[in-house]
Amino acid sequence: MRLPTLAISSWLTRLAPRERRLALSAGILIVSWGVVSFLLQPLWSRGEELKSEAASQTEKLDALNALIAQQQTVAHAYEQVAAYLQPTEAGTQAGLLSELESLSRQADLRLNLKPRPGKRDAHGERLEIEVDVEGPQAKVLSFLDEVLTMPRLVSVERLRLASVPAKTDTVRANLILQHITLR
Amino acid sequence: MSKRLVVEWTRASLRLAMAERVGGKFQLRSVRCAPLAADGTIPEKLRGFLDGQKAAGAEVTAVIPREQVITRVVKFPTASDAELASMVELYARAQLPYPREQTVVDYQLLDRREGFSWAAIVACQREVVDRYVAILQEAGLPPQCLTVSASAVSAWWRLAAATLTPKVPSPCLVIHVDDARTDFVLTTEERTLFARSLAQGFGDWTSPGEAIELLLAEVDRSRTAARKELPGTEVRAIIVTGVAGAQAWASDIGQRIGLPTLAVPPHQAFGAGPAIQAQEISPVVIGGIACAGTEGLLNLTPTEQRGLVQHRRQVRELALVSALGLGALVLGAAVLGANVSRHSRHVSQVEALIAQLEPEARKVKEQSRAVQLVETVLEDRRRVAAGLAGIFGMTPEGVGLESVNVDRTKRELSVRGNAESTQAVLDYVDQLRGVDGMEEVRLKYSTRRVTPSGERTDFELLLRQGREHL
Repeated sequence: MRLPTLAISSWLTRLAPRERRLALSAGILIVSWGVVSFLLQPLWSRGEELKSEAASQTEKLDALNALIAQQQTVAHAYEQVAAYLQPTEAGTQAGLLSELESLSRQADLRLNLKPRPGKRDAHGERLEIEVDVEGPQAKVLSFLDEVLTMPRLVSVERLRLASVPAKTDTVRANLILQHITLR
Repeated sequence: MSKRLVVEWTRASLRLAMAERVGGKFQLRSVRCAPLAADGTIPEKLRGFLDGQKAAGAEVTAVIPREQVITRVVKFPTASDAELASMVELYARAQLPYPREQTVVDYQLLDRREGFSWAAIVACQREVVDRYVAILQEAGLPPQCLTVSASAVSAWWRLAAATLTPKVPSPCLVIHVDDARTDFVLTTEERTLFARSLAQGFGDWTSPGEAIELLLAEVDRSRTAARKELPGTEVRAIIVTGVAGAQAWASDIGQRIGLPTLAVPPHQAFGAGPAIQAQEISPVVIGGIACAGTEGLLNLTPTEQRGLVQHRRQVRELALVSALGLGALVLGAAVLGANVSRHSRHVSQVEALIAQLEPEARKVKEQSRAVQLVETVLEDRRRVAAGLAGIFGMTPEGVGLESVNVDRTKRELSVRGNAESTQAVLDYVDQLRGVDGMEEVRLKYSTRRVTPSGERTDFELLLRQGREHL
């Protein structure tokens, strides 16, 4: 460190006074540029970056706090619907099919079941079943009532209820049910 | 600058004074003196004086004895500063006993009235000045100013007069008795009017009587010369200063001349100064400049030396401004660094909190999503059930239903059937509109046709259920 300083000092003394002032001014400008470019600007940018990161993280923290504030309410609501979410054997597609068969047998209805390929996503699995029942209107409606109130996470995607030509008081119901299993 | 260094050498001794700025004023820190041998070892002695003095960056002034210079008080027919400078230059070329290029000249305006200016011109041989500069440079003390001893006595008097009460009448003749020289300086508190020098000092006189007689004769000569060169100027008081022994002669001189005469010790001007190393020399000249500065003093520094001094000053100022600028940049960087560190700490704290809360929050979110899903499914099922119940409940006897279609995603039900008449269909539509949660009931078509069992109207209705149903 001392050698370069001495070399610069001896070089400066060899210059004419005006040249020395110019050299000093140039040196000062270069040093200032260096300080600004390699110290101040990176620090400023890093500061801005951290400020923006802090803002987004604070926002995220607020959202998490808001979620946690709802914890009790959500837990209570979850308990209430927990029966629909139990991942028991009865919750599988086979369980649903046998339950549908059982319902149709009880109502003395003709039943056709056609399982379709399931769909998976990040939250769970969706299995679709096409159900075809035929029988007296009252029994079909009773069957539908049972389906619509069964304690499973099953949604009725489509329903077609139609009278059967030439058969008085006989209706046919065609349903597409979706059985949802959450992970 | 915060330090001043004043160097003077007479034929007998070398002296050096150093003053430091304290609270806006310069205070004398040290006075050093050493006898000077004839072989001339001034640079070495000066370097020896400076050992341990921390004199780096001090403003250096050297004093040329009065007897080495020529002084003239000249009256010029001008009241303009620019013209006066030209006239002094012309005078120096024409009247000085040396060629102009071998002389260094300076002048001081003494008086200006009625279109005339009186100036004290001082000239010194270039050779003498160069010798001084060379010696000082060899000692590592390039001088900022070379002045005359008489001018320095005047600077000392300005400081001393300010401390005296009552005020001494002005102008006064300051008799400065040194070991090997005596200065007679006629001065006001603002400027030197006239100066003479005697190449004898306290060390040269064998008895006080002899010294007093000599001084009285010189005072008389000085008063006469002053009257001649500056008409209307009269000495109104006499000050005796210098070596300690000479101050005792003040009362005798006063009695003999008949003017107020005062002995003023040198340290009167310096306040609480340092103990003077050698009592046989006078610190008036070096101490006076060290404390009062070179402002208003005659300056015999050569032009190139002044340029060099100015250059050094500019470089120093440039360096100072740069250091300040760089300091500001570094300070800014420190503030930014602190800011970055603060934000960084804040982000880390928030991230730690997030990491702590995230698993629980994720669980709540998943539960919430599950609850929402179940509620949506159940609501859809209730809607379907309510729609079917509403349709079957509101269907009158005369209306036959052929099919009912439900589409969950569209929240639509379509009903196809037949009725006795179009009016019956419209009545049926009205009735369905009364079903709880039914947002819209629209007749898609109705067709009247004749069948073997009679006329009947086929229709299709579209029913839309509201989101808030149930």
